[in-house]
Amino acid sequence: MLCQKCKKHTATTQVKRTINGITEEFFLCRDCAAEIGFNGFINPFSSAGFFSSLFNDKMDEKSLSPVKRCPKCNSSLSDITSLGKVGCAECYSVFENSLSPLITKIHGTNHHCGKLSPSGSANEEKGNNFKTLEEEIAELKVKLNEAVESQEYEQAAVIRDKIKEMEEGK
Amino acid sequence: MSVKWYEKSGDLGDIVVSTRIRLARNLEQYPFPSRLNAEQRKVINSLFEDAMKKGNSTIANDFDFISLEELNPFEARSMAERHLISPEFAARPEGHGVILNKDNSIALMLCEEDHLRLQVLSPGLALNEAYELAEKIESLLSETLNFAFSQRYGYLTECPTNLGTGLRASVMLHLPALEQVGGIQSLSKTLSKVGFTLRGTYGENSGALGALYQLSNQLSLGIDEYTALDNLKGITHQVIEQEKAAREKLDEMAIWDKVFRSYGILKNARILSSKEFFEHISNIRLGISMGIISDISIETVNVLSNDMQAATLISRYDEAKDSANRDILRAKLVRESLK
Repeated sequence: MLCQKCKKHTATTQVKRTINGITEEFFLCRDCAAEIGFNGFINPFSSAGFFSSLFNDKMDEKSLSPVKRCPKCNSSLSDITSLGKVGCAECYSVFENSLSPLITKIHGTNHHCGKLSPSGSANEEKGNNFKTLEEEIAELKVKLNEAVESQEYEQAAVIRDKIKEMEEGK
Repeated sequence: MSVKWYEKSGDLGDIVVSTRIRLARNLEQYPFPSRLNAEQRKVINSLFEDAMKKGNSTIANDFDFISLEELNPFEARSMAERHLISPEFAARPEGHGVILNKDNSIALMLCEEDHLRLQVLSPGLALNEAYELAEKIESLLSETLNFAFSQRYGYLTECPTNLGTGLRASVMLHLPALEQVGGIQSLSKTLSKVGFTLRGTYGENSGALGALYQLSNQLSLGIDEYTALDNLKGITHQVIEQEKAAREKLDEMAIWDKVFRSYGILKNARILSSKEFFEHISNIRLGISMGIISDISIETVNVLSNDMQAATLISRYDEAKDSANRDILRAKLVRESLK
């Protein structure tokens, strides 16, 4: 294929641009492609928009629309599909659009009926970022054991007092 | 040592060896198990341990926390042989714990495929009773722990196949006649079309041992717990009828001969491999069920079926480590038990 700009040399570079959702593809020779960076050029690519579209193309691959990840466990959709395992509870809402058809395919439906979680609705209201007191205490107990094992007794004493305080405050 | 659940027999116990209920739950604050680090596993283990102890004291006193890391590999495998934990769980002890009651009928596997796999086992056909017990324990835990739940998908699980109720109910069935007339494959195909799975005793990738098959529900979303249990119960009765019909088709004298040959071997053999033992104990169970044998109870068959497995023998008897000695020991224990 010949370069679409100079129509002389063989096209070696593929350029894509997307404007308002319409993607166009151009095939350029090495010289013409390099030229874009220095002189710009006019037709058939109108105006400076071309630069930004090239820019956007690159960003598409790298950072502008990076792979979507679950903010809680950092899983991407491809992590989930390749492992066949969902990363965490949050993933079900983060990747809802992709997972919902899959779930329907497995179960023939995507709506639960059966036992309701006693705290289910309350949890959604209060948000998911707070640990319960029990969870915090359990984490502290693990830290306490580790401090004792590594003979850091001063730190262990501090943790112990904190656990006591939390347990009494319940 | 207290009598274990599997040493008893229940409703339709000649064909339905046992009932198993499994509920999957996850703590909403933590990633699912395959993305947990070692410290998080420890925290989760102790959260469940504390939650069980906080419950009313009769329940709390009945349970022990067992860290798989502290067991020798044979003890862990023995637990898998007796269906208390999954073989995959037994094979990877790191950060794995199980909370077990005294008669072994309730087991809480921690950080398996989900943070909690709560399992209730019961002899015979007892789906509703076993579920109600599981539900009671789950409710107790949810007083102190927040389980991941969404209005739309129900209880959230690591694998989407368990979403919704998180309930997997199964019955272990003894189907020697269906096996002999070659009816298992077509039955299994039919069952999978209506949302049930039939497979060999020890789950995926295993053949049936001693004509024992596990029948379970496949769907957990969009169907409530009691409907799922009723459906499984209905299907179980149909499979039992099919097994009985298949028994009618077999030559009566041939069955009597087979049952009494096995009776003779188990009462007299000096060397008994695991495979041979399961083949003959299956014939004994059939003989009891058909009224051919009356001096051996289903309970005895249940006890032997659990206790004569390799890892269980090794975890109890030092000499069983050597496989030749183990087969001799197995023959001796079976002879003594059938005297």
